[in-house]
Amino acid sequence: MTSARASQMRPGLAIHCDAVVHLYPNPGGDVVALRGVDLDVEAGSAIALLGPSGSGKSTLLALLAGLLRPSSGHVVVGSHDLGRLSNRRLLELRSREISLMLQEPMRNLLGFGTAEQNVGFAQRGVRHTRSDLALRPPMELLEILGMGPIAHQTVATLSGGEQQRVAIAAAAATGPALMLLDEPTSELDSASRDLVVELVLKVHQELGTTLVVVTHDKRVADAMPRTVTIRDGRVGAEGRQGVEYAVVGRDGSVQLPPDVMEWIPPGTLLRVRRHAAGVDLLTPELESDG
Amino acid sequence: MRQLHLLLRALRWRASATIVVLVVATAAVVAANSGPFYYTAVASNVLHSTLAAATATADGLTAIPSPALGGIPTRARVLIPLAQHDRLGRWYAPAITTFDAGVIVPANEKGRSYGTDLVSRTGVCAHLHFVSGSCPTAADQVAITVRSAEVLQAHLGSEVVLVSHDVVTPTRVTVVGLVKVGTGRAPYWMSDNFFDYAGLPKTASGIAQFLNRRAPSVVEQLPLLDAFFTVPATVEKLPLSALVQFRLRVNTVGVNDAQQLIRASRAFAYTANTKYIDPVTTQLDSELTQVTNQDNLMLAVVVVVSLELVLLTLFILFGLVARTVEGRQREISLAKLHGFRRRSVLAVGLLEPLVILLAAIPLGVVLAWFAMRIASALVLNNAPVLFSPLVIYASLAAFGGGLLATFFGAWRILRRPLSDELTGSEAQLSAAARAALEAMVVMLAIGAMVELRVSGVLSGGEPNPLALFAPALIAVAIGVLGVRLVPVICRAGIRWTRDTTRLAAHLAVRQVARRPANLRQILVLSLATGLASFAVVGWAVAAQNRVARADFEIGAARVLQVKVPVSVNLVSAVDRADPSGRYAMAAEESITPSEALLALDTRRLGRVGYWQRSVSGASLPQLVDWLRPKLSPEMVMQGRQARLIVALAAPLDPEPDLQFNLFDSGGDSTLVDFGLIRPGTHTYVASLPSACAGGCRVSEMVPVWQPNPGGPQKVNYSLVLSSLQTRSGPHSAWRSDFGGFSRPGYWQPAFPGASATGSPDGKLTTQFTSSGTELWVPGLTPGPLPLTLPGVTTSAAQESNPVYASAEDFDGTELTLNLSRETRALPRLGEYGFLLDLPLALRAETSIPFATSDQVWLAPHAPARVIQRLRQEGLIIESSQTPAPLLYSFDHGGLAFGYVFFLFAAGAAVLLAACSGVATVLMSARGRGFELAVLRATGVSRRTLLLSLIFEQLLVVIPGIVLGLLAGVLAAALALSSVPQFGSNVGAPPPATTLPWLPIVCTAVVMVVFLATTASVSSLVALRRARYQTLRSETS
Repeated sequence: MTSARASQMRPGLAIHCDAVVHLYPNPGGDVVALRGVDLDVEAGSAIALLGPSGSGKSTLLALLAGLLRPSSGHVVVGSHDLGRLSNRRLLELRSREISLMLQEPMRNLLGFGTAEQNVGFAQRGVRHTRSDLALRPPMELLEILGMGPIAHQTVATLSGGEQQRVAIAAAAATGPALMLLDEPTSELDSASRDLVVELVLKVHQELGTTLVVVTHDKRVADAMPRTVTIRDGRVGAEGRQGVEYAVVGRDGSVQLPPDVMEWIPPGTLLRVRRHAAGVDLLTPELESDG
Repeated sequence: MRQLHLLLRALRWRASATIVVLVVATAAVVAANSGPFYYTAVASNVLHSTLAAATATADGLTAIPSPALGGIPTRARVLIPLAQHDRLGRWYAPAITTFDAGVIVPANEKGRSYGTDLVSRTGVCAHLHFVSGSCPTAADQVAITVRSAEVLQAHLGSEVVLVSHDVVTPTRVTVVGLVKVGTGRAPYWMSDNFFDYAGLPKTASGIAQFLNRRAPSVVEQLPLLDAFFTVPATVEKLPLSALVQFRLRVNTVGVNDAQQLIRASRAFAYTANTKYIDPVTTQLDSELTQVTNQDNLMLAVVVVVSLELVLLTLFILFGLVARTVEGRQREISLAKLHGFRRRSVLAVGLLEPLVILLAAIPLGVVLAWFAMRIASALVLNNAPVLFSPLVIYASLAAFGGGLLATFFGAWRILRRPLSDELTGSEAQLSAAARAALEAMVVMLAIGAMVELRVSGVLSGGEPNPLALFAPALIAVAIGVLGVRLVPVICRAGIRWTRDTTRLAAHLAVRQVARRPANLRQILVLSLATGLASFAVVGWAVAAQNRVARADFEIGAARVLQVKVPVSVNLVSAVDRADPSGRYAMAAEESITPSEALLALDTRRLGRVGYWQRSVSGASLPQLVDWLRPKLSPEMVMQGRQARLIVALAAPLDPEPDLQFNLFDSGGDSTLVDFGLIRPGTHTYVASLPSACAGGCRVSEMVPVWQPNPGGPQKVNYSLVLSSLQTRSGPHSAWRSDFGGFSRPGYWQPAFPGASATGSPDGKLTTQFTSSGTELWVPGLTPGPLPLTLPGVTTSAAQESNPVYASAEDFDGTELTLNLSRETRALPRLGEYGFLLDLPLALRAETSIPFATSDQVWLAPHAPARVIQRLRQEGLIIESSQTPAPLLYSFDHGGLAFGYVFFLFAAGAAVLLAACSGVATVLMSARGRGFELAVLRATGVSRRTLLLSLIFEQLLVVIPGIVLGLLAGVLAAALALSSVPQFGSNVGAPPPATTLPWLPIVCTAVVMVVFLATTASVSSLVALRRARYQTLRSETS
């Protein structure tokens, strides 16, 4: 990236989720998707959101993109409390500062357009809102991201990996401060996945953007400095540099990782013994054994 | 530029959808513009065919120069430049001036006289076919027909003497040219018949009798010769009448000229009337008013039909746009995801269909023009198809409608929350919203039908083009119900078809039950079929009614206008020419400004004439029985002499002269005089006229008594009559022709002052009171001569007439008619008039009929020998009339063309529905490719899959057609009687509204075959996606 362009870069946006609850209305009874998520992401950092299907990852992503409003709690991106912003302001945010890439590449692309046209299309929202920052021409962006050779190809004719990369380029087309990527490597072979991960990290580094990636892919998660695991609508664990920690909830609850659950099954009686070096978890059996 | 490029790529990417939407949008524009284009072509056609159907006299201007202000010839010459001044030359041919003097060719050595016209007419020689000689160029030269020359035994160079009223010196003319007998049918003749040769001449004595009786119309009562053609100088010295005629050149009149033309002709008529007191006659105003009425009705029909077609097209467009927008759902979501403003999102969603709509407008206009140009070549005599402001309005309306259809079609997708895209939920209208929408549509349709009924549009009274909305409204209501009903039936069918041997049927019913969106096609088909069946039924019924009306207005398959020679009885001649009574019927018609009388030989009416049962509550046999009551035989004297025994009790001074008025078989009146009646009983012998050799009927017995000056002015006396006998010659035996003296009540008083009593011994005792002061002479009339004729009149005439009405008979005498039977209309007479039985009416004649039209009506398949025999009987056929020209004018009237347009529109609607069905199948097949491929992969055979696709479509097509037919037939039953079929139904049989089942069945069969074929073909195409490769390239 040239220095001139770098000077126009915006710093990434910090994320602060405070006791975020989200309900989906349902005639048979509302469905709770998120049950009080507390999450902080530093500006310019990158995290991977992990968790089983239905745990609420995509809902959290939608809340971060301003597509949904939390039922309670606050989702603050940068200085914006998204739940309190008008639709118009949310549109402006999405047009320039927040970029969301949906699962399956073709859902993010115009199948009939070329890669260059798709990047250009993604920039149209900015032209309709603000133009205080110059946009990088689509071709230039594609060149930078190493997609020059496929810039004029119709995306429908590209391979899955290429389509995914074009989708990431389109997501990055407006130079967003926050990029939200939903399953960027699903349905890709390992070679394509590596290229995509490489591209994602490159975009993150080049743009200085805050990056949130929802993934099931361990390789993607491993590539991220921080992972957050959502389980049953809550932040269950957080990984730092490859080490996973359980997260103590606001109410003092702790979600144990599945492998630990094998040892401490539901219904197990635990006593927490505090001492100078920390706490011990004791079962009646352990206590009787001394 | 980039956006345009992207748009073009998108259109190309979705080429099939683009083409389908373009086709339907173009069809909408074609539908909207066909009406205006068709209207311009038909308006011109109706104008020209109406003007052409009218006589040249009706269209043209006829000025009658008056003798005031300088004499007729001078006046005639002044009128010509006057017409030029009024700029009539743009539409009218140059003036034709006719000078016509009625003249008599006096009796020659054979004792015969003739009447004829001495005619000078502008440019006449160009329209005569000269057999020999040349055109008259100098005064006192004439050209005559070879027929007249033969009668007069004249040849080229012969001198003919002509006598004219009030001119003492006869005119002597020289024959310089012999011409063929013309027909007088060419427009030049302006309907004036100068070739009206009238058959056998009368005897000199007969002429003298006529001259005494009917002095004012002497020439008309003489046997006529064809006109003598000459130059103005020959005619101008005689008492003459003149006409200045301007023939309308029909083809020069444009659709927009009507008002200008009327103004110009009125200006001419006004100036001629006010300045020179010359009346001008024309029927152009009424002709053009008729055209305007037809135009207005046709325009109303075209607008209503166009509107229905456009609405159907827009509905299809709505469905297709909704489908294609679903295909662009991801793009719209993407736009929202990238933070596009609402306007930009709308642009992403609607730009494509809008561009297609914009492209469809010029395409549709051009296609509509071409379609109507072809239609014009096929059915509109190549009438010009013109661009008019209506085309622009229609295009804008179609574009506006398309815009709305596009907008509503895309609305659901455009409003879909982006979060739904994340969760993957389908953008479906909720079941409640759908039900509410459909209920609203049904209620609107039913409400509109009720409104049509309540407001009287569908009451069957006054025809109203709005009744044409009925099929669309009913079809929409029934179609929506079908959309609801079919899935229910299919759900029931799922259990029934669960058996694996019915896999194709099972797949089909499951699919239909599961995807109600495709059922929208039922509504489209129902609407198209409803319109088509109604159009076909309406067209068939209207065509039948046009034929029936033309037949009724003319009366029979052929009506011959005949001249009946004086010695020939029309009824007897026809009886002899057609003894079977199946092919010919005698008729007489008399139409005066105040009265219209039609007398038919009603025995034959049922078999020969076109009678419509619907015109009367009574059947034809009942009416005939009424018109022909059983009467005693007529009193007939046949032979050369008659004798009679008369007893007078007391002497009278002067003695009464006993006369019998007779009517010969040719309808000629004569009398037999038995001389002065002396006191006592004596036998009296009288000569019968030669015409009575074949029999003369007695119309009256009158003892003429004229009082002597100074004598008694009033007498009462009795005559006893007996033994009336006749014989054919002086040496023949006497025979008793008549036994009427013995019949009680046979003789009736013709005027007050007479009475009679018959007795079984054959003696008739009469009593007369004669007075010199009374205007009438008391007389007796034989009973069979009806003093009160039974007649049938029309409802309209009945309103202004009592049951017993007085009417002027064919001979100009007053008749009392018993009009207690009525009809809605009468053949040839229309709304006003009386129908009589001809033989009975002729019995009532007491003198020669005049101003009547003698006719012979012929049945449709009358053999040529009947006409030949009519000629042999002495009848001269002057002209022949058939219903064909009238039917042609009906068929080329605005309403007939309106129905043709409805047929076109219905065909287009069916075609569109089929296209919509194919498009629906192909577009849904794209989405169902994965499903089809999976079924194929799981072992479902290609044949089963094809059958299931065909069944699936038939489950939509068949209900659509059945419901549409039901709607069409129901609409026809409800609305057909209210749909205008003629400009006016006054004076005509009520249009029949019986549904013709054959066209309905044919429509059903054609539609089932056509739509089933398109369903099969589209299924085959859709099946191409059921490939294993699809499983790799598509996700479920």
